[in-house]
Amino acid sequence: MRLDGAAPVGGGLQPHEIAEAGVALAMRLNDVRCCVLLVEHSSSARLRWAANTVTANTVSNTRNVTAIVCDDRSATRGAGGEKAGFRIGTVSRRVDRLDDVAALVEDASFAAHAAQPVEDEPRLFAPAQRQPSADWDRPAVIVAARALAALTPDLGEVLQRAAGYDRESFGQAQQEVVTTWLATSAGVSFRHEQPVATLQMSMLSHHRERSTWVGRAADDLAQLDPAGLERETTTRLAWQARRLELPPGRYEVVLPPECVADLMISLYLAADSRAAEEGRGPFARASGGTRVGERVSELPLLLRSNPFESGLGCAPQVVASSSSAISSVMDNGVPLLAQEWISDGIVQGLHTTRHSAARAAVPHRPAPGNLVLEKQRPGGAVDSADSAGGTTEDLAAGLDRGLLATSLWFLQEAAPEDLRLSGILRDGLYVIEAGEVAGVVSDRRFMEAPLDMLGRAVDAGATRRALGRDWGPSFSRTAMPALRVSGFEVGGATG
Amino acid sequence: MTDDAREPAVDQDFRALPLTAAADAALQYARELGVQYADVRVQRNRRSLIGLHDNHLAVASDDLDLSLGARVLVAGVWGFATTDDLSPESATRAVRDAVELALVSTPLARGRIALAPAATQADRVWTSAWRIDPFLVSRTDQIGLLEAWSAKLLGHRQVTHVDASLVMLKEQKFYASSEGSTTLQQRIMLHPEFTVLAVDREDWQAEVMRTLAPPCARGWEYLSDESGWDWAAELAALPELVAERLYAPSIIEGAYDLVIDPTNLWRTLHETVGHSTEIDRALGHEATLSGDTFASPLRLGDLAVGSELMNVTGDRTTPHGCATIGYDDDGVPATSWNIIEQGVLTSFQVDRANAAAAGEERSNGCSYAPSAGSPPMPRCANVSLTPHPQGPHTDELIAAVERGLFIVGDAGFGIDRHCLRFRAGAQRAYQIVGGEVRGQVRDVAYQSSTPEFWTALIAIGGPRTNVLGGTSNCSKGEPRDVAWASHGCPSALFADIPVVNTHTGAGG
Repeated sequence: MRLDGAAPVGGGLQPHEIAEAGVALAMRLNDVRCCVLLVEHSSSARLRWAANTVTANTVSNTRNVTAIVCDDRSATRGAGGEKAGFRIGTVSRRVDRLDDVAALVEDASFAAHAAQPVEDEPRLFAPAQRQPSADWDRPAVIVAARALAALTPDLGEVLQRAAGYDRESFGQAQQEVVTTWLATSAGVSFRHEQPVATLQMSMLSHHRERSTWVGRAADDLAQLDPAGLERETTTRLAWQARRLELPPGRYEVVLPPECVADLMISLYLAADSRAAEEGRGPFARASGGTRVGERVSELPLLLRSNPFESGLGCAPQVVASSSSAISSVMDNGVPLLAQEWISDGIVQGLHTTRHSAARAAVPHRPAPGNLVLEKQRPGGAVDSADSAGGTTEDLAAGLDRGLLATSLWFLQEAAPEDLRLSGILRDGLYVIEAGEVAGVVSDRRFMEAPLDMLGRAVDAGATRRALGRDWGPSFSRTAMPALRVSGFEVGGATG
Repeated sequence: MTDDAREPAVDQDFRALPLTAAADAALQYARELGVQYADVRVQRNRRSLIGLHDNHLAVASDDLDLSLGARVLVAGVWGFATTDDLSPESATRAVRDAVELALVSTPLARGRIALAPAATQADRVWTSAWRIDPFLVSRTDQIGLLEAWSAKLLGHRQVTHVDASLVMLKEQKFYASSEGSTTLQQRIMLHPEFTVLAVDREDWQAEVMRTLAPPCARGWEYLSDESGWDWAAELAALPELVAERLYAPSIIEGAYDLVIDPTNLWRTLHETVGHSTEIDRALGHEATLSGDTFASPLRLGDLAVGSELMNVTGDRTTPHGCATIGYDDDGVPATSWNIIEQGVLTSFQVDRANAAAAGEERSNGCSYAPSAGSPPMPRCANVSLTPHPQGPHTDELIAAVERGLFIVGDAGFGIDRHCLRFRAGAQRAYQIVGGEVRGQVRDVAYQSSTPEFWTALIAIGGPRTNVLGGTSNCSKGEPRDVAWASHGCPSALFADIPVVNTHTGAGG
């Protein structure tokens, strides 16, 4: 195994040079059919606080280089005379110098020799234009500690106020930018900057008997408002003055956009065409085939992705460091376009790789890295976040008797066939009577299947950017409405 | 294989990294900036995982991570920065970033940190004790051993499925501080585990049981010559044991006297005492994550946690312990101390920043980060229950029980957010009647609250009953970090503990 030696002054390669050199060196090796080089620089500044004081902080800069090599001795015939697939080797580590890049691609080639054949599209995606993107040779975006300075004065005041009012604040603030260079032997040269900023705040009071949480995501921390989040927590802690009992059962529940985000992300990642074709997952029909074309909600709901979505932008090309059920390294560089997954409550399509689309003879729909859920008005327009009504509180005010959730936690797959998820309704589950908060119940277990849930959605509010608490920064580019859902299964206390 | 057995030493290829060049540049810059304290860590971790299902390789990974972390204290506020670039320029930039971060964080700092004093440790080198570096054993041989042992288990009529796993960690740390301390350390740990499933298709019953061999800081000899654990005996016995449980009666709920084997008791100790006495947990730093604790520094010397037989120590010195090290991430030499004395809370597990909050003048050396990518925090040491010097053997404890259960091996543990109410499952539970062990019973979990449980400790085994158990998967922090820790326990007798039936009993 090669060592990571010191980067000599002036001897280290720039990230785009590593990507270009890696492709060139890999293609000179014997038996290499095609290759992908991926360089990712992650730069972040974050801090964490607990009991009204900062407890940990980190500025982090790391660079990872992934070499993916496709072995050319791949056309081995299987027992039935069909192609048995081809071999892919992937190796990932930090490299700085040319000889380390050479060693990396050699190691990936060795890994390909030893790998099991996989069934996939045999050729890398070839772009129409083999021109590097305009910013190809720009350096990585570096996040400095001062990115947090946009928030820390206000946050400091929030913590001081909390201490003064006998409350305890906990939370974390983070700004990250991942800069990615993707080069393939088929001519892709693509650079992308992906920022994400998140602010999460828990507020506890009354000897930690009352507890609430709020969280927000944006591209830049300067867009977030600690005092605004603090005001939300103050309101919610006051709602917890009265503690109520609640037997387990099915209830009408208003889910804020944060909860809807967690459930929809899980649904999105399970919405792959191949699984449905093979009879697995929530989009498979029991009688065979997929649920494309089926109505899954009586509400005119639109579930869509668009890499160019204002405020939610993400990579406009496929970037895949590994193949899985829902992505393929052979699709690296494939352009990503706007997609509608569900429209007017009817399933329009599931995401595919080029290979799974060809196999199932369906349109190729690669999945962008963001997700939006909206309620369409007749004629297809949607309510903007500024339109009157449609907040979580508005939906709760329309409840005669039901529950209002705050956040979900610890989502786990309980049953893969319909994607039933178990988890915890955490940090504020309120009983609503005649449109008013009557009191709070303890944290509860819940069980819900997101696709099924859309079928029981009674109303949806206006869509705004929302951070799922459970998924957190790992999938932060989501915009969701509040949903009012009937028959939501609430379990026992978490104890 | 004997070629791989040599005196344990820090690997040459780690020594050859530009450790001093990076640290010198960083610390020089920190001096110029005039910070209160600075340290630099370079850490390389190699983690290997092999998993077999029914003798087929299901998962095999081998990951290496190498990073540098710079920590500074600026006017009583921490700043931390990390990078995977080990050049002197990058190390210097990390110090600059850390200082800037400390200043930016200052509006959020309620108090100011003063580090407890520690003696300078110059040019110290330490390794854990291994004979055969398991990372020098070929992957083929590693898989081959797991396959051979799985095959033996599968050869038994009663066994339907076998899962085998082997987790290995090699941790290499270099630390240098502005106080002139430099330490260079390497430790190797591994955790092999076999789980068997027995199925009775006639009655449609199934039982799962796994090996009790603990994770430990040893080398490949743990498996190849069975240093420290009698694998042959355990694997030979496992099929009959799981089959027996298949046909065992289901427990009747009620209060029982429990003789608890160290292979189960270590887990209860870890959760009720190990975690409850971490100082940062007591200060509320984990309140919204893992939870808080019933133990408060205000109750030191006063809070009764258990009976007078309960003596619990913390240490990072036990040979082959998973939290054993030479020097912690604050540069403090490993030591041992009393956490509980005769049932009373005596101390916490602290680092230099939080020693004073626990009433300590000095740190007891619990500062740890699993990589140089995150700042250190107080982590669980080896926390162990002291055997009674003239204590009885397990058989004698059992002989003293008229009606009870003998509990062996840990399974399915749950505890509330205050380290208080808990429920502990078991790999095996045996009926004790008139001082004798009868057959197994199934679906057993004991349920209590920390002080009630430990106050019910009425007899404690002698040194011959002691076993060093432990975990390779203790997670904490945000984002979650995983650490390993060991817990030594003797066998022990607890009176009148509520036992529930996990199959029919109140759902948890």
